[in-house]
Amino acid sequence: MIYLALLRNQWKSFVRSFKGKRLWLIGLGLFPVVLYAVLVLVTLGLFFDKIVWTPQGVSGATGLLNAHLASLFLGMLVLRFFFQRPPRMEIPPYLHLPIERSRLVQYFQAASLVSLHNVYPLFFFIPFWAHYVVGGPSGSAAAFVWLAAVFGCLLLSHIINTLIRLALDRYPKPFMIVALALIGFQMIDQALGKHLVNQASSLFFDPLARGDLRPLLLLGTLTLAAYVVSSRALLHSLRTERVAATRRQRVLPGILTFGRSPIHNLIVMEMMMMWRNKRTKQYVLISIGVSTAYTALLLSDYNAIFGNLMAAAVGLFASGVFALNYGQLMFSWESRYFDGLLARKIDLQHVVLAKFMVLMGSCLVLFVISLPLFFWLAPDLLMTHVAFLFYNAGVTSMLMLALAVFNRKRVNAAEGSFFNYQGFSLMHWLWIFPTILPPALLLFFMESTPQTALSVIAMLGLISMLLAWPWSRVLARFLARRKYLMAAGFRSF
Amino acid sequence: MNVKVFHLVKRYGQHFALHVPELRVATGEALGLVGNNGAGKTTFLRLTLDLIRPDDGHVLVDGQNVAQETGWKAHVGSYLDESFLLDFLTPGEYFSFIGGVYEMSASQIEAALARYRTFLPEQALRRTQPFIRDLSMGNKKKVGLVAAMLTEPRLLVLDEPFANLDPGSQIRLKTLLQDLRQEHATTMLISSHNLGHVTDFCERITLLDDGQIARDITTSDATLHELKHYFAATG
Repeated sequence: MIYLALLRNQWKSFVRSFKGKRLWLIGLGLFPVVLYAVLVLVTLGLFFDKIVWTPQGVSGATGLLNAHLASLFLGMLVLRFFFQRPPRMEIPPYLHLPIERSRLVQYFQAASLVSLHNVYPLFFFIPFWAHYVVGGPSGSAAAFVWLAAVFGCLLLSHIINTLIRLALDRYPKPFMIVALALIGFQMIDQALGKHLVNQASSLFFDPLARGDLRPLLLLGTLTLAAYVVSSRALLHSLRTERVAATRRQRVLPGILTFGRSPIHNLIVMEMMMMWRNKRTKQYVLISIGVSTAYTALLLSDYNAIFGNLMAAAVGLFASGVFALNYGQLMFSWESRYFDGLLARKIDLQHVVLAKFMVLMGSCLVLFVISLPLFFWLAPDLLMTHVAFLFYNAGVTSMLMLALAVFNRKRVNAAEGSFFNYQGFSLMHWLWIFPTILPPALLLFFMESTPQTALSVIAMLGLISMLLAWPWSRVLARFLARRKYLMAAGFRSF
Repeated sequence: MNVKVFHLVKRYGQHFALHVPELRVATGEALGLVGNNGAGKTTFLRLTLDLIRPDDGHVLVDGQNVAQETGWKAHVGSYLDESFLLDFLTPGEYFSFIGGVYEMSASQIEAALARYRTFLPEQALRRTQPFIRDLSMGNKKKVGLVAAMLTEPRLLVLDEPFANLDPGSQIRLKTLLQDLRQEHATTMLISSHNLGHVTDFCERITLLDDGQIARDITTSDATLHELKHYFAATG
C-alpha cells in the first residue's frame, strides 16, 4: 500500500511539473530531437561494424564493442554523475511520517531506475544484440548471458553513481580528479597504442558472449554488494545533518569594498554575488574554461571547418562567452533580493550601468586570458580577437542586458549549475545566432577585405560603448516599466 | 512623513486582494496592520513600497505618488521579508552597502550601528562574520530590521517584525522603534499577528479582512480585548 501511495505521489509530481508550460511547444521542439537521437542509436546498433572502424586483431562487431564497453560504461558513469539526480533528494518530505526508512530507501532506489540514463542505452544495445549477438556462433543462450551482463553493467553504474553522489554530492572535485585521471589514462593508453583498457574490456566481455557465466556471476556479486552498500549509505545519509558552511569575512582591498559611489557599490555587489554563489561562480569558471579550452580547440583547426563563420564564432566565444552565458540572467541572479533593491534608493540607470560595466569587464578579462592562445595557435586571427573584444564589450553585453529585462523566472544562484537550467529556456541559446549574425555576415560579404570587415565590427562595438549612457537610460526606463512583472516572477517559486 | 492612500485596489484574477477606498497616516503616527492570513496586509505594504502595481488608486508618501516618483525612497526604511537581504554578504558588508546607498560615510554607519549593538546577533558584531545566509532565521531578521532602521528613516515599513525573534529581542525591538519615533518623528506602518505587541506599540490599529478595512481603531486599553474578541469570532 505504501509503495502504491509513493508511486502515486511521484506520478503526480511528474505530471504537475508540466503545469503552466506550453506542452505543444515543448513537444514540437523536443520530438524531432528525441526521434533523431533514437534513430541515431538504433542505426548505430544495427550497423555498428559498418560505422565504427575495426582495428586489427578484433573479430566481428561483438568483439569490437566488447573492446570498448569498459570505456563506454565509464563515460556513461561520468554523464550520470553530472546529470542524474540521486534518489536521496526525493526522500526528505516523507521522513517525518511513520514509514520505515528502509522501505523508503528501497522504494526510491527502485524508482530511480526509471531514468533516461538507463533507457537511452537500450536503443543501442538491444538492436545491436538482436542483430549481432543473437546470430553469433555461440548461440542464443550465450547471447542472453551477454545481454544480462549489459543490463548488469547499467545497473551497477546506476548504483555506483548513487554511492558516489552520496559521498561527493557537495565535493565534486575529488570525483572530477579521478574521472579526469581515468580519461587521461585512457587517452594516453590510446595514444601510446597499448590499448590496455580495450584488452581489459575484451577480457571481461568476450567470455560472456561465448556464454561463460563466471564474469556474469562476478558482475552480479559486485552489483549486489554495491546495492547493499548504497542502501546503507542512503539510509545513513538521511540522518546526517548538513552543517551550513560559514565562511569568514576577509579583508578586501578598497576597490572591492562598499563606499559612497553608487555605481561602484553596485559593481562590488555584483562581483560579490558572482563569487559567493555556487551557480554564478561556476559560470565564471566555465566561461574561463570555454574561453581557453574551447577556443584552443577551435583555433587548432579553424581553417579546415568553416572559415569566416568559424572566425566569427571564435571571436564571439573567446571574449564574449561570459556575457552570452551569464548576461541574460543578470537580473534573475538577484531574484532572491530583487524586492529589497527596488525598495531602496537605488537609481535604475545606475543598476543598468553597473551591470553593463561588469559584462564589459568580463569581455576584457577573457580577452586577456585567451590572448596567448591566439599568439600561439593562430596569430593571423589576432585582429579578429581584438575586433570581437570591442564587439562583445559594446554590442553583445548591451544586447544580453536588454534581454535580461525580459527574464522574470526566479533563479537560485546558490544552487550548482550542473544540469541546472533554472531560468533558461531555448530562447536563451537561440539568441546566440542573431548576435553572431552581423559580424559573420560582414566577414562573409567582405571576404576579400577582411581587415575592413573587422574594423567595422570593432567600430560597431566602440560606438555602442560610447553610447552606454543613452543606452542605459533607455534600458532603465524599460526596466522601470517591467519591474513589477519581474518582481512578481522572482517572488514565485 | 505622512502616507495617504486613495481608492487603492489590487486584484489577482477575479479576486480582490486589497480594496482600500481611503487611509491616511499622519507624520509620526504608528499604524498597526492586523488581520488573518490573506487579509491583504503584505499586499498593502508592497503597494506602499511600489513593489507591486495597483490596479487602481495610488499611495502618496509626503505627497509623492510612489509609483511615479522615487524621491521618497531616500527617507524610507523597510523590511518585509528575507528577499530584502543580500544574503551573500556578511552583516557588516550589508550595513556598509545600505549605508552607501543612503550616502552615509563609514563613520556614520559605525555610529548609527552603535545603538543596535544589544539587538544585533553576536556574530554580526565580530571582526570576522558569517554570511547572512548562514545566520538563523531570527538573526537574519535582526539584520534586516537594523538595516531598515540604520538610516534613521522618516517612514518605516515593517512586515511581521516580531515574528521569529526571541522574547528579549522582541522587547528590545519595541524600545528601539520607540526611540526612533521620539528622535525622528518616524511614521511607522507595522503589520503583525502579535496582537499584544502591536497594540502595545501602535496608537492606531487598522484591521484588514479579506482585503478591506474592517476596523480602524485608536488604541486604548480595550483594543487588545476587542481584537481578540474579533478574531475569536471570525476565526
